[in-house]
Amino acid sequence: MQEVDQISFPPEVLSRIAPDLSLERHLKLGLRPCLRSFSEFKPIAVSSPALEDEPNLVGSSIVSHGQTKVICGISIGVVEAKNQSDTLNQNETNSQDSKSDGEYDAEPVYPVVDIARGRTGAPTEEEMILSQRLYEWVLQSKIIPASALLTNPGVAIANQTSSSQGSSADVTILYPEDSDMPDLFSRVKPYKFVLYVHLKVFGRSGPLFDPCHAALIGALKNTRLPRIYVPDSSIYSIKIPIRSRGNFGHRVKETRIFIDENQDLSNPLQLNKDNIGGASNYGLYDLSPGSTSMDVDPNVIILADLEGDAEEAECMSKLNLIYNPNKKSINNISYSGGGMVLTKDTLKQCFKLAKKRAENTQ
Amino acid sequence: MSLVVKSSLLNKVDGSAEVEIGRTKLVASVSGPIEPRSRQELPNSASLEIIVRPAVGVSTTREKLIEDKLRSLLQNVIIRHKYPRQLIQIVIQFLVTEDTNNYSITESQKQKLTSIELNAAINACYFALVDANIALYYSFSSVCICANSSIEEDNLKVNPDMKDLAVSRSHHVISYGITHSSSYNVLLIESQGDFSEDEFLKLLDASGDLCKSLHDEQRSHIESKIKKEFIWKQ
Amino acid sequence: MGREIELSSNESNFIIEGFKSGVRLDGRKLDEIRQPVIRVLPDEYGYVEIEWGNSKLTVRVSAEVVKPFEDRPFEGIFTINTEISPMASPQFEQGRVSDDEILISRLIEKAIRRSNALDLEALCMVAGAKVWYIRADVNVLEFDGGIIDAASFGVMVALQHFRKPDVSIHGSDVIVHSLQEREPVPLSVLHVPICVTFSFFNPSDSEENIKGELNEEISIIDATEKEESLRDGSLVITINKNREIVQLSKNGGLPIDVFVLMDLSKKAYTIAESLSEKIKIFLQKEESERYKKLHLDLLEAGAAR
Repeated sequence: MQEVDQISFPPEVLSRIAPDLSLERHLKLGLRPCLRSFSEFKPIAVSSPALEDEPNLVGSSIVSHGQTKVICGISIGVVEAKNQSDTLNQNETNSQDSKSDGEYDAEPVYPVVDIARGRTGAPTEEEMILSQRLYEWVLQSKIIPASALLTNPGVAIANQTSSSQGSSADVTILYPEDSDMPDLFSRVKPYKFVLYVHLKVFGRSGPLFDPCHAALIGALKNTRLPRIYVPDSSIYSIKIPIRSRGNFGHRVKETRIFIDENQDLSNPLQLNKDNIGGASNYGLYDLSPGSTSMDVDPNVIILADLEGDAEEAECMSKLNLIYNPNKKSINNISYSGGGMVLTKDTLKQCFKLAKKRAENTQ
Repeated sequence: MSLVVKSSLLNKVDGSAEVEIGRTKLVASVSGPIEPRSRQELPNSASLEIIVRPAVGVSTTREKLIEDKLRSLLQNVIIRHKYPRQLIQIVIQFLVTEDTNNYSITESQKQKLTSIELNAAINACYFALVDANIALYYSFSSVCICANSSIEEDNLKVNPDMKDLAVSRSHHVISYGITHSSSYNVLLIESQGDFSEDEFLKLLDASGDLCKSLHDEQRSHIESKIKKEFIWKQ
Repeated sequence: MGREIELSSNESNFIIEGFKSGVRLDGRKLDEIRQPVIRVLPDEYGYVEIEWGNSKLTVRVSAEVVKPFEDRPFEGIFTINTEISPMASPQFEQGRVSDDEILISRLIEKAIRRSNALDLEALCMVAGAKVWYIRADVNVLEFDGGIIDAASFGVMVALQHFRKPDVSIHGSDVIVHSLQEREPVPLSVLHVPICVTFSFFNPSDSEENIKGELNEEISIIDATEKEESLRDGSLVITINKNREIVQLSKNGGLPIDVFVLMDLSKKAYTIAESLSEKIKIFLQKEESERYKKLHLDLLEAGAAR
């Protein structure tokens, strides 16, 4: 009879060939593969502003979350603000709510997440989903009041005396609030900033919403919006004839907009700071031996801040929370689970952890 | 709660259902198990392809997020190891949503509509999966609830429309798995807004009952469907 | 991944033999179309469900205020979007546009948009600044052949059923009135192009294609998916009830006699005539029901209020 050899693998090999088994053994020992304790979070550090000398960015931050680094930069675009009447007569449709802050008639931010993965190409599903979740969070938390992005452009006026030489160096820019010429500004349309948020992720080692969310908040907090102005002549509507079928001599107004490079005039972006919450994620793992989904009181472990492929793949139930320590309220719960019963006690424990985490990272 | 369901309306797919909840109307179809593309193939379980298509325009990241949430629910409900190396393809086509024919919708309202649409999609998937005879661990149903100033029984609005959502303080999509006709297991929670822990726990209980009563409705739909389909047996 | 249906030789021979004696699987005559069923919802404008035999699709028309193209400041924008999802038939894959799909959307585009069925200049509000952008989304729920005919029919019904919100213009500002506030206005549809698809079959061997004098080709109208998969050539005639041919598109290598083509055009015209009449009657009935339901007669001058 042949002797049956017990095959054993070193832990690093086992974790690759049987991640489920490896994770289960770790957890039974009270350990996680990343050597953190069950309810221990990865350290998160936000440094912002991070890229101050970059002239094209209005806000920036760098977040390191365990091994993961997220670089966030915000650049701006300008669009013509729709006046209220443009969108609709709001009278009869949800009158009281439509004008409150946080109801945007257009997208206020465009978050774009890019996860470094060693090749280029169309955005992956994870990137698209992360971008959309961040976008939805901005809308839902109403962190940016709609009025904060509105701006009334100034007017650049060339000084008449020196213009004879053709030297246009002597230009002053007047802004509506410090000028007593209301008719000068009456024809200038209000504009609106759109914030383009670029997030670059290096060293993905777990769910990315939390660090991206922290990076977005960090960058928004130090965002400064510059002033914009239009040249004097363009408010009197330069009409540029355009050639079209049959040429009716039609003219289209064209307004050119410039950004005032004077940093002293820029204003910090107004934020509803009370609405900022802290995000955290949890995986639930059922340790009860040979557990089936019918077990009523399973031995559920809460793993805070998932890390590594094994934890991400083997935790069938995942929970994302955004807790707002200022208002002591929950802003977001996103749970998907299977195979085990989510008890209220588990949920309460997660809430407690989220609360602590949000308060610590505030 | 009123569900208008028509199932087995398409012939080219294995299962289909048209569901109307409030003003939202959609068709869900299920093809599967079918042959996957090689990069979708999983050696020991079925892969899911979920496609969400909006009523107006082409699909964007918004639909991608709904797909993702649907996937996180369905992968725990479908007995995937029964169909190794195979593909289950689920297509959700929205036909009428709250924002069609509406010219005053703001971005934030549109974002809130995601929950109405997700809720409708989950419920439609159930009928389509049953119609396609895909093995499920348990039945599931989902409710969309929004809460006004504080979450108390009378302040809850089940199956809200856009106006309800616009004035609500928080909105939730909660889905339960149901076995032996009792709501048994939370499968999915998508809550947004501003609410306290106690409020939420209360709401979780309330939604369990709602999901259960919705399941009774599901049962009667499926009962009549089976009666119709097996008429030749009698 | 060959998910496309492949018929056995037996079945395909059976179908072709049937054509020779003038019979089709679904009992239609060779030159008979499947009669479409139109459905709309009572409180939605511009949403139409079409059942064309087993083919099912929905068309949704929507409007939005946008800035016109720089080179066409007086014209609104109109696009038709036909994407076919795997729901319609497993032969359509997600994320990959098949040749058939491109052909279908091009032919519909040519039939309706390029034939100026929709008056684009009527969509202009403020020249160069604000125009209506009308889009028609065609969603194919089930594919059983004849998608070009069904989709273009559906788009034309939806365009005529659609009402865009009324606007008032103050200088360069535009106020869009909600549907409850002011009675919305219909689009200005200039003519109703109808697509009729013919499929050709060659009953003899392929030599006939090159030097045959026999002219034995069989042509059938409105093929189902099975029939489409067997055809040797096809022809789409888009025609309106003013006897104007809008588009002629013949695909496939089968040569067709000139006189046959004339004959087919005549057949297409009769079909176009009956289908336009069908749309007209349907919309009139729908309009009067809506009128009654909303009690719009109370708005008429001299109505007893």
